[in-house]
Amino acid sequence: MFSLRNISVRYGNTLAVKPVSLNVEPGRTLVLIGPSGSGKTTLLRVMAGLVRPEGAVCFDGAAVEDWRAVRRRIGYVVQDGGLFPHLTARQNITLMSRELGRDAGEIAARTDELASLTHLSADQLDRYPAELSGGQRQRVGIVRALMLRPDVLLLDEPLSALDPIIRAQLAQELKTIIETLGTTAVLVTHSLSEARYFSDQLVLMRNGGVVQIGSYAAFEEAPEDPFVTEFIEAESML
Amino acid sequence: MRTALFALLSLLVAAMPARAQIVVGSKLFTESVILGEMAQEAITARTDEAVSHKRELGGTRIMWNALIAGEIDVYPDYTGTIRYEILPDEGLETDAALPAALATRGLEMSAPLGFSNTYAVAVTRETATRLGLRTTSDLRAHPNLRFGVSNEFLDRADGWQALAAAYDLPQTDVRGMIHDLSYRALASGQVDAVDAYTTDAQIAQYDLVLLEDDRNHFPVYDAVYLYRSDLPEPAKAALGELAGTLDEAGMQDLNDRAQSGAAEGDLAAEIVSLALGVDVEASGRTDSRAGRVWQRTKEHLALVGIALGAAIVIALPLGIAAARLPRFGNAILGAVGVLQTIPSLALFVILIPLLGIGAVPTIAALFLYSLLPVVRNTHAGLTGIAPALLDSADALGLSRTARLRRIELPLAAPTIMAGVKTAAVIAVGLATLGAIIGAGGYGQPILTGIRLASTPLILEGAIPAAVLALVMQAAFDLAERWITPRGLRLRQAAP
Repeated sequence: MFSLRNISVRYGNTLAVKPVSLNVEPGRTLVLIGPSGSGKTTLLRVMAGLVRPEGAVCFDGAAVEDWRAVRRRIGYVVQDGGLFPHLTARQNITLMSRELGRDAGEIAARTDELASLTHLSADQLDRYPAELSGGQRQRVGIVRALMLRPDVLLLDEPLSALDPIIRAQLAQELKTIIETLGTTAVLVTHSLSEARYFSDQLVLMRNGGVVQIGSYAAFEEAPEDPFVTEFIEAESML
Repeated sequence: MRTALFALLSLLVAAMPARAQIVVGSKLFTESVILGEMAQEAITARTDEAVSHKRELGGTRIMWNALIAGEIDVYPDYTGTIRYEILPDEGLETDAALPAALATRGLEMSAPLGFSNTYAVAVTRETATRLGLRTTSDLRAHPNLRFGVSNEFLDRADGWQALAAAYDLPQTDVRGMIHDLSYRALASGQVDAVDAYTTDAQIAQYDLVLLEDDRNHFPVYDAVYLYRSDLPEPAKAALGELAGTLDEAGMQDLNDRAQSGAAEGDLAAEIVSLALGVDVEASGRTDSRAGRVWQRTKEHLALVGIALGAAIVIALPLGIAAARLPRFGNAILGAVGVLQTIPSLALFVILIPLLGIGAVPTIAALFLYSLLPVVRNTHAGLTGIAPALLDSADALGLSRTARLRRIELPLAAPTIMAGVKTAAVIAVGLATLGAIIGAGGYGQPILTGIRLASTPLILEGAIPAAVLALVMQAAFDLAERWITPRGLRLRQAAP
């Protein structure tokens, strides 16, 4: 789906992301993991077209020229939902569809379908973000991202701001959604348990560079770098 | 947007009274207003022209510029003022050289009205007796005397500097103030000496002593009418009929009665009736107080409303551009910031050659002053939006225009509205200054009140101006609540 060819990101004189090449397979879930400042979020933002890298970003086999066309085929979810505070949940969800002039009935049907998938009630949809709980806001963010039936879902630490029980619930729902819709997904997290739970393919990053790419099992069984083992052990210690 | 601007402009034109064919102007002091009324009544009596009188326009520079620009056709002035203040570089030795110098500018002057209103230093009788002051030279022995002189006198070529040089005056405590207020300062003992016009009514009222000009420093200040050469001949002739009809005692009497509450128009009518031998009626202004305040309110609201409306139309896009393009933004914010530092009176005077006098330059000045709060708050509101929200908008695929309209402007609306409110309240206050250049509004009764030392008149302008500022504030507070999206008002309540 995505193929990054020799991508690097430079902020002034520092390399936020060192040259990397990566393929995101259709229908699979790729997890970017690593400590803070490792460049994982920056790499996700490259895929969302929010950061302009050096190197080529290919989507669906072709180098991206017009990001606006590509963005409609991408759903992007950030921590705490990234909802617009002046719009109700429903207005947040339907904003882009209305902007594109989609049929109102069709919009309402799609909203209802996704709301029931994420267990959001009609009453909750008519509230403002400030009136929703953290978990509800995150659900609304996910529904908003799925509204235009995207080919890829990009998720930036979607569960990090939630307390443990809600987090576990939402993780399950999210996995169900991804599997039900057969969506390709790229998820950024610093939690190894989330990585193990979601990933078909796992990318460990450190200081802007990729340390290892592979399945979670390969990380445990065949670490390519002492840092891989160190990272896994640090997570399991607590 | 262009349509909106056009609509505003046509509204502005409609809001202004139709321009009379002949416009008389007068300066911001009682004698000038009476002489202006006389000119209006005389020309009205002798011609079929429509004549209007723009009263209390301000100082010599404003009048001269307005006359040159054709905004006014006639105004009263003094030969000494013309020679030394208006045309100091021409080196005119006597009044006889004046007509030729004026002719090169397309202007003429009438024969002298009869009285001369020169300057003199005035002190209270008590001070004169105690210090033994009789002549201006006597002031040299008392270097600690405090002077309060009119602002014009402080600055002009034939004013304080020249007087101090001519008499070697040692005094250094010299403060500029509005002429009519300097007498009050003298009476209350805050200053010891003032510059007086020799026909001022206050000389008799306060029993002041005029010090003799023993070195013959002050030139002759014969009162004349200055007018444009294209003034119709019958009108010129009418002004000519007023020549020699008013001596110093007569003028001092008129000034005194005006200070005591007589209408300038009625006083002028007495003189004009005698001079022309016909019964002249004062151009009546018999409105009730409520009627006057209502009229002033309409004028004031028109000034503020048009200026503010135009400022929003221009400042909003400027603020958006400033937020989008940081380098351009710095230039824009710097430029509107500099505009704000121009003193308002200076701005009015600068605008007269371009826009004339009256409502238009006042609106232009208010417009310029309103730009900064709106541009700065638009910029602040837009740049203060959390970057994560803009990312969300971009990631959704919203175009730049849709992002601005749907996300950025609603989020910045409360901040923008606060800027508009600031601009409105400032404009209500500043618009009172517009009266100096004939814009009307609440400033008019304040100016007249200062001139006539009438506290009720000052309050007739000051109280409505303060009330209007408060009403504006309250109205914009409501508008701010209304324009702030409900979701944003909830922000505080959220956990």
